[in-house]
Amino acid sequence: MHVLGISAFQRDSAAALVRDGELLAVLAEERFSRSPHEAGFPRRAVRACLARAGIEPQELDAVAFAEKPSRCFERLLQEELSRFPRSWRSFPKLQLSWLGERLWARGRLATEIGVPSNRVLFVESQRARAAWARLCSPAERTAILVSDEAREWATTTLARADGGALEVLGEVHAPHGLCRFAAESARALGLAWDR
Amino acid sequence: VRKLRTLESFARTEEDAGLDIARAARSVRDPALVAHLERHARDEMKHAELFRRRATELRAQGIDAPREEQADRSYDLELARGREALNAHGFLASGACDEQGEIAYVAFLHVAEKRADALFRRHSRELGADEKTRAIFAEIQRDESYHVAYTGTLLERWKRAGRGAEVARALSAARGSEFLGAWKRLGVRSATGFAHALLFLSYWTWVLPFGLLARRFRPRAGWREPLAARTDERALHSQY
Repeated sequence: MHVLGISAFQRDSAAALVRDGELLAVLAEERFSRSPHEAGFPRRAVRACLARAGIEPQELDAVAFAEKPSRCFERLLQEELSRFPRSWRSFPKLQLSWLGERLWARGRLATEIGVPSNRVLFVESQRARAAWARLCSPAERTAILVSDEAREWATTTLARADGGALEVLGEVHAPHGLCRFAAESARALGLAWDR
Repeated sequence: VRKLRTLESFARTEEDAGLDIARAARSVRDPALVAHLERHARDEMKHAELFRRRATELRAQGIDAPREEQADRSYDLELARGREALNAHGFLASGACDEQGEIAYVAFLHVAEKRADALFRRHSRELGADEKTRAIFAEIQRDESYHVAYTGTLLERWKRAGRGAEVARALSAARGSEFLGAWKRLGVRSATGFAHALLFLSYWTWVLPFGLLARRFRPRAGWREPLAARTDERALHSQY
């Protein structure tokens, strides 16, 4: 079974290919585009992953995208509305960027990769990160805490992993969260929040 | 800032072109064409390096502009193309040689190089007292002249070999794609402007009551039940 994992449309886009649970390739698009933190669709990384495995896109059993786009859009919309009327400049930009492309991730992924759209799956970004932490850990039973900038609602996730199973126990939702606190503190000090 | 962004964008375009032409050089058989394409690819990489080095110098002088890679838009609505899809001089599809054959590819290159040459000339004229950047453009234009000349010579050779119709078709397709691209960009730019205006109006009309309501909403702090509790296959297929 071949599963292709994709992270895209935000900084550090990348692709990874797993065959029967074994990791075959993990490639960041910036290594091909030579543009640090490349945010575009990882087309070249996907091609290289498939080439390394020696398979065609039609042979992929699933393509997993590390984001729930609709939930992400819902959070951003809520945040824009709660800043009314100070969001009058950013609101049209956000709508254009999301309604123009990002909200239609399924079609874009299916077309770009060349797989039927029913093979495209969506995993919450924090759950994907928790799974990544689990797979990197040698322990069979682990507690996992993920804290990051919000993509969907969750900014902090507490999970329990037991063997191959991953159970999410609780979440902290935006606008609360350690990363948001750090980013706002950095911004208040006049620093670029993402550096 | 504008000059810096232009140089960085040129560096990116030239590099993409270099990579694509190097790839094309590996896929054609004609030894003369292979040699030309290899030199062309080297030139493009050199141009990218020259532009990038000058941009770095400008940044070191204190000119600052957000780097292109920091933008989170993968598709540039205003330019009507994917940011990552930027390639040989902006309108040549990546890997075009494999898909269309060598005549179409060389015709595309010929039109693209002519266009790039005119573009660089125009930028060079706008540089004012910046002699250092002008010298870079002058060096690059010398290479561009060679690129226009060799692609023209090859097309002539194919014409004389009885493939005139094919060459004419390829050249008009290349020119047409440029025109079509410009037409599409114009369309998307107008649509983007119209959409902006419409969204701005919406913001102050029907979005307004929702905005006032949303301001009263106080998000709950602390731990809560996960939204991500559903793990069945239907949930995985859902974008929500």
